Amino acid sequence: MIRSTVEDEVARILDGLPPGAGARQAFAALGEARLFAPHYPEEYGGRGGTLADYAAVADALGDRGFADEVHLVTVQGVGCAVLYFGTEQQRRRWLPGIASGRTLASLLLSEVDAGSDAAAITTSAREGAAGWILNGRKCWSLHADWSSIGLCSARTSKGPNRYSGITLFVVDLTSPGITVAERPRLLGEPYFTVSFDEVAVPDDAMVGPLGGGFRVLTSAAGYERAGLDYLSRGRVWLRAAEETLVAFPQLCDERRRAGLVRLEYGLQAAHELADATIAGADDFEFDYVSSAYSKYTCGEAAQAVARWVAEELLPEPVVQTRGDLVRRLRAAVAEGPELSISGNAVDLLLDTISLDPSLGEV
Amino acid sequence: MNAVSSLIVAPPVAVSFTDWAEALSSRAAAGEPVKCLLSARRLLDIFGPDALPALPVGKPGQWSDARWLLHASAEESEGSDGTSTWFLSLGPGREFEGSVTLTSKQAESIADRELLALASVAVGTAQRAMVLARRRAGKRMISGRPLIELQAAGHRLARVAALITQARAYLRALCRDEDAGIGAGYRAAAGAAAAAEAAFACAQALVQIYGAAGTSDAEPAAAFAACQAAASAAGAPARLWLHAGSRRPLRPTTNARSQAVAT
Repeated sequence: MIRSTVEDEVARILDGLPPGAGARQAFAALGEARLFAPHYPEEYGGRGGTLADYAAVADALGDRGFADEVHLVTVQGVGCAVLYFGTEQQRRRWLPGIASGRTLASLLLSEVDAGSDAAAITTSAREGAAGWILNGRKCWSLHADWSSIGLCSARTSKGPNRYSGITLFVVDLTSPGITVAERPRLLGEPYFTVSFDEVAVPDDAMVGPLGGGFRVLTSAAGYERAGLDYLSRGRVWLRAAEETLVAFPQLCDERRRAGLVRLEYGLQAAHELADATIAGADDFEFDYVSSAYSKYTCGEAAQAVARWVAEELLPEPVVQTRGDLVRRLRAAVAEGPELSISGNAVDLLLDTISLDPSLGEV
Repeated sequence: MNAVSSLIVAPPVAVSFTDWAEALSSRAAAGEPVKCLLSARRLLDIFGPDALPALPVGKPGQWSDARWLLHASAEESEGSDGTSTWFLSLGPGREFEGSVTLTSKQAESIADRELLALASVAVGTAQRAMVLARRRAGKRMISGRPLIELQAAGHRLARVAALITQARAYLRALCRDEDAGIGAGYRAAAGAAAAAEAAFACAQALVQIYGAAGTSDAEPAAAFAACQAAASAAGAPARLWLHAGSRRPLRPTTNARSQAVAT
């Protein structure tokens, strides 16, 4: 496993938070120490560190049950899009806030009828008197109620192919015409729908080239390709499973102990692959094949934990006597199934792996 | 000359465990024999530098042809105090006297390294079968299309490739830990089980992709047999998982490395 130089410092800060501190407190505490986005250049609030430093922070947040997906989306998804494709003025405007852990951001890409097909969007942007006018609806955003800005994809023209003509804008989510509505779920944290109704954004909200946003967008979503956020969930769930076995020794037979090791193996092996993907990444660019292996195995390993909890622990009547454990185990069961749906469908990952050139000629 | 053969040619050059494991895996992936290398590793693990004079010192590359190593064996005699004494025998016509007394913890750690070595061979062998299967899937036509273009076949291979890749990554991490003086502990059995399962899965996929030719053509049939043998070498994966589980301390932490350090 690659080791970052900031690991110990991050652990000290997070472990020093007052009891009951929430994710946003954790983000702000890290931001104060320039550790929320440690790989950003110093002039934008980071420490000029490496991607491994960022991964160490994500890992530590996930391990402690803080909403690491918000950290990922804010720092990697939105922040890095601005860092690598924005103008100097845009970097200075948004990155220090992001790096402070106080300006959180959402990726506003998915739409009801587009799903994971980011080129099938219908949200539009037309030129207005002093910039652009946005109309449309973005779906399935987690924790959008925490965000003050969002990176939104919109069609600005019909290009020669479906991938051109898409432009990205950083929008202030408090702008007139924007509504953020909670969409409760049967299982897990609620999603949010962000609607745009004649929302005026200035010219300098545009990140990347006019009509050339798809290229930026695939990089912006690249942050999630390593699957680190899946792993942190898997580890939290496995810890709950192990605590259950410690609490009820009568359940702790040799078969379940073997099962526990198998799950731990899956997470650890996936972590090695995620580390390799991050170590091989060039700033914002992740190797496609390596990312596919990483994300696929991270998702599978975490999902295996959730399945195991559902099959081996929750059906046991004695477990029901510990409400605190049951809550945590049920969270695993609720969140597990969707892991490899988000970002990249598992079939796309397997398509990529099946063409891995390192496996020899086809 | 790689790091392993340099050890044999000019002992006692230190060779990392990671290098040994890589050498085992890459030889297996190339379809080359690994028994001598496995045997040499075992002797070094048990007898330490004392075993170096017993190893074939000579021309570069000679070590791989040192078939007498196949006859070398280390026999264990258990003591009443939990220690075990090992006697090195080099087989007929070779004289080397060596014996070493190990504590049960030392013996366990040697057994763990043996598991890692066997697992490295299993991963390399599976890799070889995967390359064959994939090549075949690209050439074999079904309904006018290469088999690999059918999602079911392509994804079957991808899933097996992921199993191999995971096992390899995990084993590399354990070998690095061994070199850093952190014993793999129960994780060695877990790695061996996972590598064996990957090799079994690969053997199965190979024959499925080849169809009838998988068991009648010499190349895939040999690769299938090699996978089965390598996957079985450390024992049944189910037993290995149980073994790993029985050794893993039960406490609510999921950091496998710290668990292993504590064992």
